Amino acid sequence: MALLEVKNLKVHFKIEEGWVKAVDGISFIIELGETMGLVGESGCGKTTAAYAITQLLPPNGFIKGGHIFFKEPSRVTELRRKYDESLKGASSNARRKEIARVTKKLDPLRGEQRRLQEELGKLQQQRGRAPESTASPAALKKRLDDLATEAGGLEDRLSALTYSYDLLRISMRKDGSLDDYNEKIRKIRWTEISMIFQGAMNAFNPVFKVGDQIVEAIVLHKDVSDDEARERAKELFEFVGVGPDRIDNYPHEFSGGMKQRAMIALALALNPSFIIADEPTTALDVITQDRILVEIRRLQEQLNMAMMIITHDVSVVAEVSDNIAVMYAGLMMEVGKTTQVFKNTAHPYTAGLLGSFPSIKGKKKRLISIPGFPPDLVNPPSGCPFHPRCQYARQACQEGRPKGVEVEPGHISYCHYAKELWDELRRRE
Amino acid sequence: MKEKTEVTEQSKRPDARDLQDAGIKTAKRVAIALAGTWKIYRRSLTGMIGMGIVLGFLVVAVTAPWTAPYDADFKAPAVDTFIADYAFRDLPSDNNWTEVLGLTSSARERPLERVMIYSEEGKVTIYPTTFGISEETNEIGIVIEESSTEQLPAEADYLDYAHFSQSFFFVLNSDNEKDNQSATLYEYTYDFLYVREHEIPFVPLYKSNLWNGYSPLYQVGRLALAFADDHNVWMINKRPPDISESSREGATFTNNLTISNATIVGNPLVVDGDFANGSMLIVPTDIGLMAYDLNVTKSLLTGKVLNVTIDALRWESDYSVEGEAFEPVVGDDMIIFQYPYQPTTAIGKESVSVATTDGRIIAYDRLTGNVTWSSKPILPGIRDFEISSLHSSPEYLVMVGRTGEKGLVAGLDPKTGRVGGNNSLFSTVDGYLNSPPQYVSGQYRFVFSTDKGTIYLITNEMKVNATFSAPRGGAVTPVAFLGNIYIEDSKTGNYFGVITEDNSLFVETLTGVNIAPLPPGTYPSGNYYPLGTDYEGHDILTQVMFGTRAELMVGVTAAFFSVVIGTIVGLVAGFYSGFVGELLMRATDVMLSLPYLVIMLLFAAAFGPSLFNIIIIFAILSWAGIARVIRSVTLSTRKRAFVDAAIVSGASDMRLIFRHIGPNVLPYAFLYMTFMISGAIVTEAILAFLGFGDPNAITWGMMLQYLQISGHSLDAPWWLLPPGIAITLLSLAFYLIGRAFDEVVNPRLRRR
Amino acid sequence: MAGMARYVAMRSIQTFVTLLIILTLIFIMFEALPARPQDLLATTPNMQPSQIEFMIHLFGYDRPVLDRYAMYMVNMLTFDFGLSFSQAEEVWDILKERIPRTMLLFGGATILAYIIGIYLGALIAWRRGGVLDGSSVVISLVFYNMPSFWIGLIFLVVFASELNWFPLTGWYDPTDNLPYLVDILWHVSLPMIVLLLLSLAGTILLMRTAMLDVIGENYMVTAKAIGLPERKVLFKHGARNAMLPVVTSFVIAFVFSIGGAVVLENVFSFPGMGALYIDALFQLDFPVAQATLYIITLMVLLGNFAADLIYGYLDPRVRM
Repeated sequence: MALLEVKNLKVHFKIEEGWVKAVDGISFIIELGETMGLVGESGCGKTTAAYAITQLLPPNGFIKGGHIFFKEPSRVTELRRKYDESLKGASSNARRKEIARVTKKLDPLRGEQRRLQEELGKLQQQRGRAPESTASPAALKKRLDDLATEAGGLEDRLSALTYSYDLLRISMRKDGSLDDYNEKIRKIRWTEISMIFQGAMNAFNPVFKVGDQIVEAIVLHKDVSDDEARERAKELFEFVGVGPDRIDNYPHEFSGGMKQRAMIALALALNPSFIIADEPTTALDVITQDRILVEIRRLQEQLNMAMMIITHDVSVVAEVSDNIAVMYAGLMMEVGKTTQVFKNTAHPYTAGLLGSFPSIKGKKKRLISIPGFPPDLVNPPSGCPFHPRCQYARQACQEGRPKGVEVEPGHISYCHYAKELWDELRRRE
Repeated sequence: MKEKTEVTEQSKRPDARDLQDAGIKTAKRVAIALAGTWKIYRRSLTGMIGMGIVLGFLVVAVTAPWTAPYDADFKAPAVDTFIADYAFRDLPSDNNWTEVLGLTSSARERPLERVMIYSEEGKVTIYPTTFGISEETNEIGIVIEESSTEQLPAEADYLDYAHFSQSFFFVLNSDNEKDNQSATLYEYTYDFLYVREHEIPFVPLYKSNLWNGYSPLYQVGRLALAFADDHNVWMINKRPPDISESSREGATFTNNLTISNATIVGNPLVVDGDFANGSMLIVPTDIGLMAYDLNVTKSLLTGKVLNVTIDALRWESDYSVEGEAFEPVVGDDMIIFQYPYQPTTAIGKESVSVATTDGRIIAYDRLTGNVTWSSKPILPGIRDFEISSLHSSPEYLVMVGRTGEKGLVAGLDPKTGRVGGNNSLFSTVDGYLNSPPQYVSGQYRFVFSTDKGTIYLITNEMKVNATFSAPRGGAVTPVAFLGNIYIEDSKTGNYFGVITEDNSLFVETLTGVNIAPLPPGTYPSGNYYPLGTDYEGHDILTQVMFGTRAELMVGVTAAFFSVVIGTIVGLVAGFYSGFVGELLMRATDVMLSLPYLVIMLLFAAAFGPSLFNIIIIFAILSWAGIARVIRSVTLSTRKRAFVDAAIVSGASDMRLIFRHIGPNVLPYAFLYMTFMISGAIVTEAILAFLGFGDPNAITWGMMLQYLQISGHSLDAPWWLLPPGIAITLLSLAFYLIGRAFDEVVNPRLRRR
Repeated sequence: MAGMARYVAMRSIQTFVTLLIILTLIFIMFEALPARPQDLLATTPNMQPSQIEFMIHLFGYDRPVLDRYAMYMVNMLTFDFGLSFSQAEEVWDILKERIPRTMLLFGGATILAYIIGIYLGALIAWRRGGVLDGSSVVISLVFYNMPSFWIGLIFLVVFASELNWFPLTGWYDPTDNLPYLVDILWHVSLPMIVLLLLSLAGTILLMRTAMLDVIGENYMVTAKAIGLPERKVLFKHGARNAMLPVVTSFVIAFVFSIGGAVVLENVFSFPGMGALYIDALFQLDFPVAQATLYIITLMVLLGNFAADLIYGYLDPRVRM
């Protein structure tokens, strides 16, 4: 089952000059236990995407559309896709009608369920006396199970129709801003989705002990005593390779690498099913970087958590992720398995991005940088945002926004000429 | 060696064109920087508001003399601030009214029954007064009734009046058509019921003051008048009428005296015209004073005065003191001699004083003619002055004089002739006195007027207590003291009268109530006070407008000096970050933990209140905060590459500090200056309010200090609010500018 | 904890040294004044030269400067302030009943201003951009720039004179028929509220700025991300950090507040040290002025010391 499905997400920021279209309609899927690398130049919207998922947007950030489905059961996903397909192009009324229809079916079922449940209760109370009713408890239970299955199916349909697994449905206000401290979202935070922040240097509150901050997170969500939480914090420290006795130290007494490890420990504190690591190694020196990456990979293998690693450093992604998503100017450029994207690059931008990073392992190549500058996101270029810098750009690129083209299974390129270029780009490798 | 340096310097010196180019470049750079600053600054609404307010105040400060409703030293006229009984009477316009006749000093207890005015044409009008419902005020007060005008039988060149059971007045007509050798003194009652003529055998050059001993107890008086030409004195004594005989006129005794060995130079003086032995006639001549006894013959049976004659010369005294000879001062109609004492015995005044042309006053013993003292009065701060006349009061010998354009009154100690109160009992007033300071006994004050038409009331300490300018264009005649109206429980008392510019008679009592501070509104004078007045009658709006000048001046200057000190300390501390820097920073910390306001008060108390002192004190005590900021900016600037480059190229420390680091520090200095200005404005106000302000300056703080000490802080909101609002607004405005500019200097703060 | 002990020791020594420096400064200041105290002793002209000499000797003005300095330092540190010039009384006797009054007024207002100001400032910054933010910033700015005595007078007019809620002047009035302490609190409240409002304005502005800085910090995002409720993010993580620069500014606020107290005591005829100080200055009563200035400075220093300790407690980084 897909752990996270981001669909057509749009996040815009309101500034004096207008709206910054930081994320302007991206889609991707992360499966359970899978690691995805989200790559792009700084300012391309990757961190915004992550903050939208965790609902940590600043007050001037507004969701302008899209869905973030989290932990949606696969059958609901299937139903949802089917419905979306069938209702595509239809008016919003059609969906409302469908919801009404399903609800109408569901309601008597629920009534029946309640009635049978009461009956079953009575029966159980009357046990030992002479049975007055003809129905036996066993039969009733059987009937109830059937009903539950039937109702469950209908409820799935309802969920699919109403997007009830969409995180944004919980907390988004009418104007697109997020209710930052929504109770439900707060429950999901850290227990389900945790984050390793960019600049872990300052991610810890300088006036509290590091251990206490981890304890705070544990005690907040779990019904455990402070001592138990401390034990857990020590375990976590050990797990990430920091001496457990350091939990009583303050952040300023930690080195950069240690802080990063402590950050990872904090992220792991509640065994979340999904971790977003935002530039986890950027501020570190190369050796520490490498160590942390090894650590992340180890943890991920051991704990089987899904991860999204956000970075501008392609080599990091290459090292740890299963999949790669490449973003540019708030839009997805290319999505696919790591090997696919690296080996069979299908988008000129990815090609440029890969060209501009030295590969440690691969053959020695000349570094090619992409000419030009990233676009202004207040007034992004029409069509494909990359066209002004793309050496393959043609007339069509200026007009329509490219649709995803599946060049090979699971490998999608958002380029008008993906298929044509695919071969050429591969040849260049 | 020295020459060499000069040569190299010269060879290095860029030519004019280079300099010009560099100048243009710098100017351009500055312009670009300013434009950039402005672009960011403009975005801050509060900053624009602040700048607007400051500009507004600046405009007010510059244009105050033209735009303020009144002058800086304007005071509301007494008609507005003084609730006093007064009355007007329009005068016939066919005459040139020049004088209101006042009472002589010895008759001041006399009730006010009529006002007598006199015209250039020799016409006299008498207006009876009563006490009733006044037309002007619609309240109980003095009422001037219709006149009883009489044309005098002859053109008069002297007029005075006296009080007995009936009041008399005297008219001297010296323009005798017959022979030009004699003059006639006419004697009238007020109601013209009785007339008597006295022939004077010469044409008088000098006229005596009227000695009019009026007794309120018996409603009777005794009278003595003396007239003189160069060598002759003619005196008239008038005995009180006999009440039992219901005779109006009493008896008159006239005397002649001829002095042949000297020339008379001034008004002869009757000292104590009481009909007792010891009364004297004193005649000023060019060689000295000549004192004659008066011989009074009384009936042994009834005690009635039978005859009064001029007796023998009692003493003769010249004006020289310690061998030096002086001329006596001879004023037009000013009194030269006076008796400084109220009588202590029946015989009366102990000495006779005379002023001399060199500013000396000589007192002679009345009985012996010996010089008791001679003195040249000392007036601190006034070097040159002339004495015009001397007058008496219960406590002092009152000296009237002039210095420059100003009139002068001083109270002299009758025992020594020195200015009393350690040379502090004196005042200068605008314009020369045109009436003698007349003592108002119930109030321990003097009233007089000046040739500028202002009436002054001065205290016993010779300090100006109140000034009045008569309504309807102001007074044109000397103020005349008219007498009293005795009514219980009313605002009555000592009345004075003047003739005003638009030809009306104005009579008002001095015993009024000051109702200032006045709330906003239009007042009897026709003046409109938009924000009311303070207790002295200063227009609040005018004061606030003029106060802007001092506030801006103090604020900007004090802040500037404090920023200069702070910037230099900060630059040095940041640049020499070693021992010197550390030391300076410790000093800064100590300065910061000093309760600066409390210490400012100490300095202000010790160095005396003046704006300059406040500026200096503020600068000395409030540089620490700036020094800290400038130091940290200096530290970070020093690390920048261009400073390193300058160091490598061998720039001197001074050059580094002022040329390279300085410009980067300047925006911060300017920024903190705006904050300091708002601090300085508030601080000045606080110092002033607590009594350490500059009493000579109009500042908003002083306005509030006056409010507090005058005891009106709870009942005069129109006075309390404007200065405070102005302080808050101006201080806030500079603060807002600072905040907006802060956003320019520290981009981190933007969009908050 | 050893770090904290060392920190406290260091701060104590530093405070004491500052005190010595300030005492010396006060001495120099009084020495530098143009009005010589010995000239003022002979106030009545009838005084005999021998009497004047005796007085000068009594107050020690016949000794060399250094002797006097030593004597002065010892006297000040032992709170022996000598005799008043204007009242035939020990300065300490005059001062001692006034110190607690001013402490109550100034200490109460400052502490309350800090508690309320930190709370409100944090809250206002948190809801930045809204009506609350705008209006409270404007109000604070206005109060911050108001002359203390003026707002004091206005409060006096409105709340004491017009509404009669508070007494006009003084410290205690037996005719009020209130328990002693209640009456004192009633008397002290109006000046205290004014001083509180004045100090509050600065604290709110400062706290707001500090909080705005903190809101952008990464650890605030962390606090939110781990699912803490808003209140905890705001106060436990945000305000706690934003307080640090505010506590650093304690000294400036103390100095500001004591100045305000001196002024307001004069407005409200509150018989504290500020009123005494002004009177002493008018009468050039040097011993009283000197002692009052010293006590005021000492209060500021002690307040500052307390602030240092609080800072040390709040910020582990300085304890190193």
